[in-house]
Amino acid sequence: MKASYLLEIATRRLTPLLLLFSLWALLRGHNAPGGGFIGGLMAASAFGFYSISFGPTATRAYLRVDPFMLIGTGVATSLFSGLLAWFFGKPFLTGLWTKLDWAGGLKLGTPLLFDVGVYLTVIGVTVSLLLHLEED
Amino acid sequence: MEWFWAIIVGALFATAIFQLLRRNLAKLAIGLILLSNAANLLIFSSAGLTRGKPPMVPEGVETLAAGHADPLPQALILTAIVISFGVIAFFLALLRLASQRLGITDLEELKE
Amino acid sequence: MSLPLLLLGGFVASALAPRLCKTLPRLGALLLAIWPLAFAAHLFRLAPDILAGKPFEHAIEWAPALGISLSFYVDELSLLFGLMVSLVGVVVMVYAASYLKGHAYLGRFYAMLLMFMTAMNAVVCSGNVISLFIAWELTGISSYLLIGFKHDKEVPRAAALQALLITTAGGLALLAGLVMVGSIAGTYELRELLANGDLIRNHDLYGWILVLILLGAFTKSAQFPFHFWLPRAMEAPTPISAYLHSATMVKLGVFLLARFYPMLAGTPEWTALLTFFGGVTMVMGALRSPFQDDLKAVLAYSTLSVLGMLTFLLGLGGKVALKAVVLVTIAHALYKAPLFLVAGTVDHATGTRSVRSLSGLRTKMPWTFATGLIAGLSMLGAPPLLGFVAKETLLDASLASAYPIPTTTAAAITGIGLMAAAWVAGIKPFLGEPSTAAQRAHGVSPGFWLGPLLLASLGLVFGLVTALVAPWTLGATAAIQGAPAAFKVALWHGFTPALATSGIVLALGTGLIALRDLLKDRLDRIEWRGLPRPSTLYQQGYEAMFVVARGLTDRTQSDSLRDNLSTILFAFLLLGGYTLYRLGGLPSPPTVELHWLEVGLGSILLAASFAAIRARSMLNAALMLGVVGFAMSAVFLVYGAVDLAITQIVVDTLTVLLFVLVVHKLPRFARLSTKKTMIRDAILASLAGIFMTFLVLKAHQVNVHEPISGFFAEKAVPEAFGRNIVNVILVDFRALDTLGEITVLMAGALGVYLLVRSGEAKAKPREVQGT
Repeated sequence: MKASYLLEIATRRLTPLLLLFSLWALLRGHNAPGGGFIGGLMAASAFGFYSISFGPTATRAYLRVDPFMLIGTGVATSLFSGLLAWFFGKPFLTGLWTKLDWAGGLKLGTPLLFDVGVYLTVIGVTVSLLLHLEED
Repeated sequence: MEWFWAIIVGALFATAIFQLLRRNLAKLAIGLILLSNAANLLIFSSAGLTRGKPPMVPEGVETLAAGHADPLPQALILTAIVISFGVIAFFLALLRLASQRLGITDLEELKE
Repeated sequence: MSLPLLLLGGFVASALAPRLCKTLPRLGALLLAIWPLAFAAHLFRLAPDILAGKPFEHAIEWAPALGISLSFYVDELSLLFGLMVSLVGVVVMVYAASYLKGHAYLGRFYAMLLMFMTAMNAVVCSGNVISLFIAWELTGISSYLLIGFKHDKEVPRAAALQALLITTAGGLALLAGLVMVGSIAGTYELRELLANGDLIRNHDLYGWILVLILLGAFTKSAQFPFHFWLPRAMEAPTPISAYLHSATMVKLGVFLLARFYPMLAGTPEWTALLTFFGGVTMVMGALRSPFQDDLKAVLAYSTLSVLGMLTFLLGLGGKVALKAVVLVTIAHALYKAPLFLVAGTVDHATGTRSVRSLSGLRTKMPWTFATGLIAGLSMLGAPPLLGFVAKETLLDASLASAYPIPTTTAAAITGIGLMAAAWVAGIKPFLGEPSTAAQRAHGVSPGFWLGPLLLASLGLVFGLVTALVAPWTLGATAAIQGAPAAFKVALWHGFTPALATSGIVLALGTGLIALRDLLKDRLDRIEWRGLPRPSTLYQQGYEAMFVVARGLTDRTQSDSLRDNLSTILFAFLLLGGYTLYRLGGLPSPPTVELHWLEVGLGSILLAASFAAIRARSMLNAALMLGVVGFAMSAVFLVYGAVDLAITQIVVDTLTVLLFVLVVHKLPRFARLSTKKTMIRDAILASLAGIFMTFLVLKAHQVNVHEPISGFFAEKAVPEAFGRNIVNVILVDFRALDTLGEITVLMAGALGVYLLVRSGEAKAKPREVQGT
């Protein structure tokens, strides 16, 4: 598909911004609207626009890793975050939390890691769907 | 309010099902999208509707007071939206395969 | 913790086996045998504590809310079976290295064998009946693979499938029984179940539970009338047969009965069912065994007989019978495995297993002869071997039963038959003048006889020094009956009625051995007709299943998606409508005033969806679907679902993108349906819509269960540290569902990938033709 020059410029500028925004949506998800699904879909649509403008081959290069790699990493991350509970003698998927005093009482927990896994999976799935349907 | 949304849900289902019964494969895709929207709205409205009160615990409070929107159907629908996106993508891939490789867009032809 | 890790190690070893056997074809097998050796060593380390009456227990919580945990419970009974499984396993693995030397699928063989071995050990060490069941099924699946190892031939495949179908059908019954037991007792933990046996035995459903669990045990242990899969399973390579039918797979049913003895035994139903079916299997196997011509068939039928004997003894119950169960189990493992392996060696060296064409092998393979002789004598029940002690105890138990005459007769007939079988399988091929097959036979390397001879000799050592087996026997007996046991294990019991019976058996057995060839000729000439055989019934049932399934599919499935959908819809409307009508009561009138914004959004939603179905081109339809999505998103926003609104908008964007990518490659819509079908579909669709409307309204009235959202609202901040409750549900409260969902997404992405790829693969040949 031939895209206009304006679209190319806009996409080139907007994609990094959208990706950054998606990360922000992921990280704030536990306390405000957002989370792995929303963040992942946002990032994926960023790649989607990129691929409309520059084509699937360029998008693959821009993504650097194979979408299936992202999917695998994502599912494995979520699974691992659940398995961590076993090492502390708790049932599968029990949330574990730690409070970082040096970072102003920031709370980090396995549910966040779980959400990161969801984020990666959703990006991988959506991008691979888009690319496979676009490529011939 | 309940009546109103119940009728909308019914109408959405009717259009979706009518579309699913067509012979054109592409129309099936449209039917699927409408059906997932209808189902989401069905879950959403049967759980009870609350205007403008998202299920977020405000800062400084430990638990959510009563009268807020129900978070559970929201979580269900959120995943349903994403899954149905996957289903539609899968269907579109099938559709493309059928039309490009076999030259078929009519369901009745697919039988052979 | 080390026991679960060791079990996990078995699966790891199984996964590594193919690689290892490829790089180290000779040494790989021996390296892999370290695993069962290590497992046995670990059991020996646990043994002192366990034999002192302190079972090893360890639990890893799996799904605590469902009462399912991955727990381990190793008592004397588990110890006995675990050691048998592991040590016989080592012998079989080492033997197979010689037997299958240079086989193309050696790695696969060891992978399956190790998987099976691990599953076996997991069954006997399991402390929770659900995890026990899972391991049980795993043994079924891996034994299916083992029996069908020669997968390029039709007959082994059919035999494997038959074994699988019968044992898993029994497995399903077992699962039902276990779930019933679990819901009655309120726990799936083995230790608690065994301690509360009265609860089960006195329950109204005891009869059902017993029958269901017995179905599981009987199919696995090949009891009459499910016995016929076992002789057919001889299609497996001989080391497999040796393993499955001496110490492992078929003993599982017996293990299960022994395991549940404190919970289920002692009722008249238990005694009647077990002694009858066990007795029939025992006598039938013993009578058919000596008259087979195939060495392996002789051993297979004698295995049936011993399995029947064990079931029979468990049915009799009581201290002496249980002692006999333990002794027969040990003795059988120690003689049956070597005998199978001897048969394998003979087969390997001569190329035949036919009893008729085998004799005089002793000079060509003296060590194999020694193995066959010792194992055969133990099976024969000759003093001073362990087989003799076991047989004495069997006769003791029969004489002490409530009906001594029928039970002792059955036991004696079995003893006579097994004597002849032992002679035919273990000793006869080596005696006399060398046959032509024996003359052509090649000699065998130590790998063929070292392991089997070791096992067989243990039978001799244990018979001579009964003190070596006494503590294990006592312990296992105590574990089966769930109470301490006290008795002596000795070769010489003095002049007892059992000894006298034993003498009679010995004399008659010798007679049968002398007459065997003559009788076999007579028997071979008789045509067996009349009675329906279980195997024929199975075959007929199996074929009927396909006929019924095909007929049903033809009746109910038309190839048209639209016809199917219409039928489903029609049935749905009929049943659902009836239910709504029965619930009755018109829904309450609107209570909340409508806002103009809501009316606007609803109207847009309706208008856009109607426009989407009336669109003449796909692009227009996609555009209208986009509008539907945005309207949905606005609805979510109005009613406080911010996350949903965002998700819907992004997905909507992506969907439109997808359509744009795909649709420009599609032709315009053609009008395909006639007016009449359009009207019919419109009516059906409208009815469905009306039904859904009433369903929504009804849903407001009906409240089956207290909503659980209150719990989420209460716990989100204090326990899950999140203020966005929707997200907390997704990643914490219901994280398992989310995990399932992303897995589904992954499958979807793979599916699309494969579809696109298959399109390419199909397109390519066409291109080749074109050029």
